[in-house]
Amino acid sequence: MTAQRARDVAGLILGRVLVLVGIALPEERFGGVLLGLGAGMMGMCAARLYTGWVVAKDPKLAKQVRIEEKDERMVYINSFAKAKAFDFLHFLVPPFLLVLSLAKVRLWILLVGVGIYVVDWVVYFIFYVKKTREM
Amino acid sequence: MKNRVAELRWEREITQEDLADALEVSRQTISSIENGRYNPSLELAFRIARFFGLSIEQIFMFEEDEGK
Repeated sequence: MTAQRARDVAGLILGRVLVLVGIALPEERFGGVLLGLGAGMMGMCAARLYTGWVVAKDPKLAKQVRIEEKDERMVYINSFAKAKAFDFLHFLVPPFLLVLSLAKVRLWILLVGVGIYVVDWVVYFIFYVKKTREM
Repeated sequence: MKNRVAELRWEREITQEDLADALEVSRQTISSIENGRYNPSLELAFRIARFFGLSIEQIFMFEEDEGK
């Protein structure tokens, strides 16, 4: 069993557990969150397992998938799209946080938003420094 | 960057798919390289050159005003 397949099986089991716990707590608001999270996780892992199963049965398709995953043009396009999405997100988040503060939402919600924004930049700088040292 | 990938492929009567298979890239990547929409990495350029039995300079031509 490959590492990805093992992770998907574990995710499927964890998702199912979250769904069951979510159903067991119907009156709690937290139960709904667990239900949604579990169902999402189950769906994602099941889809990946099914795709892996279909690909494994067809050697020609498996080769094509392997090539497309490693294809440098596709890797470049994927990285470029992610970088643009990161730029776009960082353009959108500050005004959104300002709107939240003007709307007088609870302080902890605002702080969580700011925290996520800061963590994202910290991750960016960690990889920036790491790659600068490597290359 | 200009290149002779399409010309060399026609000379040897190789399809884009065959070349893509040999180089382990997608057919779209070969098509993009031939049309000049994508410049391959140095590694892929070497693999292309090796496939045709030529040097990189014989396949890829850098034009001075490209970087400006």
